[in-house]
Amino acid sequence: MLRYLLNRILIAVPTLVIISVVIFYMSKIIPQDPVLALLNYRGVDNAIKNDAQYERIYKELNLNKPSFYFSVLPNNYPKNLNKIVDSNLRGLAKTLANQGFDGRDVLNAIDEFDKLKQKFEEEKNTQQLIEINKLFLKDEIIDLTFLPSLRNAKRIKFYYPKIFWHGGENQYHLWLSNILDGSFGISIADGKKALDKVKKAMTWTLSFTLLEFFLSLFLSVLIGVFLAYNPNGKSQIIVNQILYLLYSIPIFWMATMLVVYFTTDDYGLNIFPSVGIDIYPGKSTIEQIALNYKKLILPILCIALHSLAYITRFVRRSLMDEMQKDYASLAYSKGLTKKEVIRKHALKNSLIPLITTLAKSFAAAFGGVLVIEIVFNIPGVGRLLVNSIDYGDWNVIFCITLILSFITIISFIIADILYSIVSPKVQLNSNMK
Amino acid sequence: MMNLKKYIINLKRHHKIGLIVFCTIALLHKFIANEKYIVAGTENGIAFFVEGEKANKGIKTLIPYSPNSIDKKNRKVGPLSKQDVPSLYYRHWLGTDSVGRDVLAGIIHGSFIAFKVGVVTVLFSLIIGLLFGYLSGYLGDSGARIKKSTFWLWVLSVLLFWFYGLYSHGIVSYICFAIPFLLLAFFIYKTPQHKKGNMGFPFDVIVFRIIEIINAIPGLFILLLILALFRERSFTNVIVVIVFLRWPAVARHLRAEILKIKEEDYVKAAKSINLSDSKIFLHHVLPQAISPIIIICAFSFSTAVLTESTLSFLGIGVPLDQVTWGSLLKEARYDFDSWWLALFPGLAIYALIFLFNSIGDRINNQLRKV
Repeated sequence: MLRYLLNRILIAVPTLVIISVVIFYMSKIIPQDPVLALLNYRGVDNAIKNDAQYERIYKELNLNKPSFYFSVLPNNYPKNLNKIVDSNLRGLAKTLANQGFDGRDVLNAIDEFDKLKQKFEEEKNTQQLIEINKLFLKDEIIDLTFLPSLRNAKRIKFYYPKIFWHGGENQYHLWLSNILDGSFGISIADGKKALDKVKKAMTWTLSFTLLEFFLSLFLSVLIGVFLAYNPNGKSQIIVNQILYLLYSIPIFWMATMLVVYFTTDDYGLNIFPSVGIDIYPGKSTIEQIALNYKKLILPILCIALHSLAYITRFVRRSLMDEMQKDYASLAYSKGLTKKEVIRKHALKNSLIPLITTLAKSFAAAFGGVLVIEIVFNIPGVGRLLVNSIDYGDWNVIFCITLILSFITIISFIIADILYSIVSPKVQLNSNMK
Repeated sequence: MMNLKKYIINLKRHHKIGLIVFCTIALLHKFIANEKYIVAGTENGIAFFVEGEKANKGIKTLIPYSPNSIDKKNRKVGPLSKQDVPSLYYRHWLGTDSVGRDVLAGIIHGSFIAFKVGVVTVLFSLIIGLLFGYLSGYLGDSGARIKKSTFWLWVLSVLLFWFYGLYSHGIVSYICFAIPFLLLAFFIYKTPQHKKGNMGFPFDVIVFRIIEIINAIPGLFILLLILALFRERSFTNVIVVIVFLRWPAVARHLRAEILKIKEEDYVKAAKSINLSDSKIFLHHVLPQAISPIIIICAFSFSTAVLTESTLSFLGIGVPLDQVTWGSLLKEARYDFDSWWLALFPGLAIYALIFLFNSIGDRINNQLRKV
């Protein structure tokens, strides 16, 4: 058992590492300059003009370091292009390296080019500046051989891969060690720590999801047993049909209808309080949730109804299958009534396949919760994510993604372990799929 | 093909009617709801899709509104309330939104977007899922044998070619990315498959790791994240992301199905008379997997439509000027007194998802009975 557990966790580790690498590189290709975003947040006007400030933040965010432990580059490339602060110049250096110039020549040429540009700027030579800015448009073929360092420089025609080793001083390592220390950076929307923001939102979402989860689980086992007890009864058929209709309802439609029809006076059905959460300053998140219980009834009901249909149908089918099996017939022949057969034998077995399904539906529940949070205006993870995407608040976005993937993987592992405890038939091996 | 016919015959009547109605509306949306004349006489002779002022006489569509045409006189009128229209023909049968756009026209044009997203997603996720299902289910970890030395040579060639692919441009780069796959196929083709001492190429392990990683991030979140990385809004991006999220499920189901079929006696018999793998797969395995494929297609279609409408409901990734079912429903959140905005677009989404889910369920049930 212990060996299986270790095995399962060991398999999860590379998955997590790969996910963290993917998320890190996603954060590199975002359509936004992180330095400018931070400068804007700190309220610096005309940030672009102040090169010294830009450079300071560029170094503060470790952007001048290479991005990974090693890099595989053509042999003529400079070792670390990230040292060049200006993104336009960095692009230019890449183009020059692609043209086959040697790394040292490229760096020298960029220096000379920068000086030339500054000289023109001081002279206010607009004509030349326009010419220079044209060079930054990548689709033109750039010829910089007028610079002294490139005039007689050799160009290579054929390149081969060369591995540069950078050690621990790289962006990914620093990023990951920051995260393991519990710091995801600050949110550029309000300057709070990203992790704190996500934690607060996560408390809402998790308590919400758990409440909904147990409510729907409890109800659906009850209804599932009721349906399977007498599959051809009249009331059972009606309930089954209703569940079948409920099963396909898009959750956002159900939420919209509930909000529109049941929270306003327009249709005479003002049963529930209007959407939105009351903020009680100075209270902890848990207390806030407790104080807002009235406003949470409708969203929880909405999402519970949705998963109810799914789980009930699953329980019903699984229980009906179990009732057909040999051990159930044996129990009948022993003289047990149908109720006793279900209670003592069939129900337990029928719930075993439910475990894997539940782990998956727990992860999927986050998706449903996202929409619910937006419609009902609840400050959970989903709303935080959508707001952060609108705002370009990438630190928060990556924090959410990483934490959620972690929770998902953990819930899968727990499901596997529970499954193996409950059902001794399942062999414990690492290849269980 | 016989199998396909059987399933179409076995569908219930309302399934067939629903499919036909939906496809007709989706494909002919421009001829059903349009503010322009379909055919009209103009100064330059007969022309198609003519705007109102230029035409002398012509044929109008069933509903004289486009989804974006604005009726200034009838803003926010309900289907039951009094409308300021010249005749019954111009009535807004399902009401208008707060700007004065016809809801029915929006729903009809939205059906084409649902159709497009659904069909393209199903097609591509099926192609990818089938390929990976074949690799991990049929070939598995030991189906395709390769010499150990060749294997490591191949790994080296992957690194090398992808490196050159990364640092070259245009068509050369694509060729460099594709070469390793062709090489692998060539190596496996050239290796004698029954010789001892060769290793099996670990397709199953590779495919399953990829699927596991994609599944580890909750779907809707990864969707939003990737869409935020794209700079512009377009349906192509949305479809690409939905396919990316959907193919693992398709591949998993097909893998399980293929594994089951592989153990059947007739497949073993085909193997024993030395038929080639591709022949066995195409002629003996695939036809048996037709029914699971249809079920997967039906459920993929409803998932794709659901995802697309969720995205346009949230207003993320989807072009803002396009009227879709989700974007119509979105307006209901800001307009509590227009009950028709909350009801009809949602009903359209629901009806379509229900249709495809119940088609999938029907075939699934038949399969269980046999």
